[in-house]
Amino acid sequence: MSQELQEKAKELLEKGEVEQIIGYGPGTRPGTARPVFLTLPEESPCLIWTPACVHNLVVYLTRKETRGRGKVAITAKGCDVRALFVLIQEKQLRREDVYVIGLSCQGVLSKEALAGGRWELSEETMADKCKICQVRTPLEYDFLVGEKVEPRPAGVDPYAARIEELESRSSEERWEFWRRELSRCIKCYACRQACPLCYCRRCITEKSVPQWIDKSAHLRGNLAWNLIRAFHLAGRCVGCGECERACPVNIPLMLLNQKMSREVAAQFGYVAGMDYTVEPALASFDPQDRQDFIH
Amino acid sequence: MVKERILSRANRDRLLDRLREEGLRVFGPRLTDGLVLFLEIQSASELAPDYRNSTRSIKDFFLPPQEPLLRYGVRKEGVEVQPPAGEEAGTVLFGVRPCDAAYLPIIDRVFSGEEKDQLYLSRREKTLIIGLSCETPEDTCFCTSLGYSPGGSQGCDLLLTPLGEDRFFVEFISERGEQVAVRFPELWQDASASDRERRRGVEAEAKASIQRRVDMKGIKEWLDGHFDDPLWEEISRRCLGCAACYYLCPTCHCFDIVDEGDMWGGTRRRIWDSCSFGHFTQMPAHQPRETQARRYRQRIMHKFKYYVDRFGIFACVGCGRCLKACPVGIDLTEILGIIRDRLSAAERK
Amino acid sequence: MSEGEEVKGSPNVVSGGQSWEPKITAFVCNWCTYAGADLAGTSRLRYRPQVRVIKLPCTGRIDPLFILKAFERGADGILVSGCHPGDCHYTSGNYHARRRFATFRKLLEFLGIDLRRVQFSWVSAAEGGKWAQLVDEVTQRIWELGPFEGYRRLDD
Repeated sequence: MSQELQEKAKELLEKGEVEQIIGYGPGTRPGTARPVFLTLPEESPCLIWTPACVHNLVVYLTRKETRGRGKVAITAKGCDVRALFVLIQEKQLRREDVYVIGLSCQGVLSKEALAGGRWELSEETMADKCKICQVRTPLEYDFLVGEKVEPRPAGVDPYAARIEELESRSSEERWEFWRRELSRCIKCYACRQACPLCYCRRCITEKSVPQWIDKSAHLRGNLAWNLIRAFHLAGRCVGCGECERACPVNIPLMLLNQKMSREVAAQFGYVAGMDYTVEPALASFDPQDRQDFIH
Repeated sequence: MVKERILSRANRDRLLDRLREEGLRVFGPRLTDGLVLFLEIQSASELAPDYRNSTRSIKDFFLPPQEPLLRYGVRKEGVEVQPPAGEEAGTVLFGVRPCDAAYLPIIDRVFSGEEKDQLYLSRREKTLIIGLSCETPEDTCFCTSLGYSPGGSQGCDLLLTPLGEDRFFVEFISERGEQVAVRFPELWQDASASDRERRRGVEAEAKASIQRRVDMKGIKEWLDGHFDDPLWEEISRRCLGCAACYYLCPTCHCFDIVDEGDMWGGTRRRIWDSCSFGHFTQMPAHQPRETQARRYRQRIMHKFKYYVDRFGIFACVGCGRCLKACPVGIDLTEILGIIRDRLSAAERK
Repeated sequence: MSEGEEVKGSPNVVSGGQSWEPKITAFVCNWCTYAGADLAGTSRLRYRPQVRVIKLPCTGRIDPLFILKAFERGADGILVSGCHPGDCHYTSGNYHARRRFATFRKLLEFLGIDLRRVQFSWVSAAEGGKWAQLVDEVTQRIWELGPFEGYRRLDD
């Protein structure tokens, strides 16, 4: 598969179909992968596609370093393409601005597996998000690396169990749970910077007059940040899991984001990143929306 | 002449108990939520097994992520300002790796140099650092390249080196360390010549096992002359602009001062800040570090040039946390290696 | 307020000694609920005084961040009220708000915030009576729930 990918990349650059390619290359630690940026055909042999290619490269598409450098090609897994769909839906990109090298994907490694140096993909080493993946073949691509793969058959949903368990607790117990988890936050914003959908040129945390969200890494500031980010992603998050992977202090961000995306699905029948021709859920409404919670 | 003794494992446990009995708060590396953090321990049994290094550095104890500087309240009589409540108890940090301990003499240059940071100093004075030599450095460690050692004692009050499963070679480095020796005379045994040799052997083996090496010769001079090199764009292209590496790094120390409150009362705090953030150098009319490349350049320049210009030492201990934390695999040693290669190529010409 | 009393308003200074009264922050739309509240006033209807009204042009303008900020600043309960669906002065602002709040309240609940502290309602310009009754009900509920200690104790 790597060879197919490298040849295609070389061809795209040689023919001038794209000016830059964002893909995965080997990391400096054995077994790891990391984002690479190619502009010359002879650089294409460095491209790889392995279960260590966990990053969502779509995050680079909204950067100023990528824009204005000509057409870009990007290697993208199904989850990454979903993020791309949201960007298109939100008018941040046009579909024709990006050449999608789709990657057929059986799953990528979890954060724990990567940290522990376990490079073989298995049920045990697979990231949680992959266990519920419906887009093992990306929904759209200009070229597909590998054979088409069916969506994951229904099985254990690692988030459902944890969400349900939390919801079965009392609200005081839930508050204590989140107090504990969020007290570790150091406001490094790795979650925000790794997220392809956090593309605001000025984040709400950066507004200082007034300072809506305390910059301090105390519990009040941490709660405000994480709560607002979860809300700003509600109905937009595609579940790529990068936020949780990037977090240096292991905050279970996917729990929050998955809860919200499931709520939006349940209440409005909408799942982000599956179809970029429809209106996003929280940018639209239905006159018949529920209002049983309104007096 | 540094005093040397032997500490049995049982006595190490007792030492921690004794220190706590004196009213000190003892912190040691504990496993929690998939991380190793310096948390308060009630006994040695809480220490993380297979401890390599903590996820967060001991910087947290000297420059916490946020700390109140003063509180203000508006009363009918006028504005009242209160200093923050001081910490009463002294602190013991047990199991600090030599790289982490070595950060303290580096950062003293800023916080205890021409200007004395009272908050930092009061913590420094009240904290006992019990170092623990490394036996198995990680693949991300590179302390030796910066002139440090897995068995080094800079910044430590005491340094423990494991000699097998149940004994430690103890060195009392500082005056505070020596006081510990005096306060608990029953805990120590004499160290023999073979103990001494074994201690050196542990250090030598650990040093030899460090794979990651950078030749730092000439790096600073290259930086002196290459502020505008295209290298900065190349190496920073993948940088996301988060502060993970900055905040976990012991020697990174940028901070901001914020006021949180309203017309009637509030708190002024010192909080961590990072030059990786887009708004770090934002001014009303000008933003000198518009691109991530310029911001990343600042990181390298500060640690390996500006700090040397100012204080004569690198602001890096080679702990490798930046390598581990970076979500996109940026490798500081790779960057230094690239600079090294360029130097070598230039030398060959 | 008595002489030498601790400062009010700031979450960083705990009010000492006084018996507690709930602080309810009400975010209301200008065209319907605010007018309704005004009608309650001109009709001389009596209702609990612990509510602080913040007027916005439309419920569609209410950013959930306002709710969070109100809690941070010491609110024990929140009321959000606007025009009935179909009556929005800006046609669809309240529809957007409805969806937004349907989502946001689930986030608050998941985090462990008691949803009884957050009330959404539609109060039209003609419903002065409804406004008074709503405020009484919400104030009573918050009085029974007590101060929002969770947020009070967050600092430091």
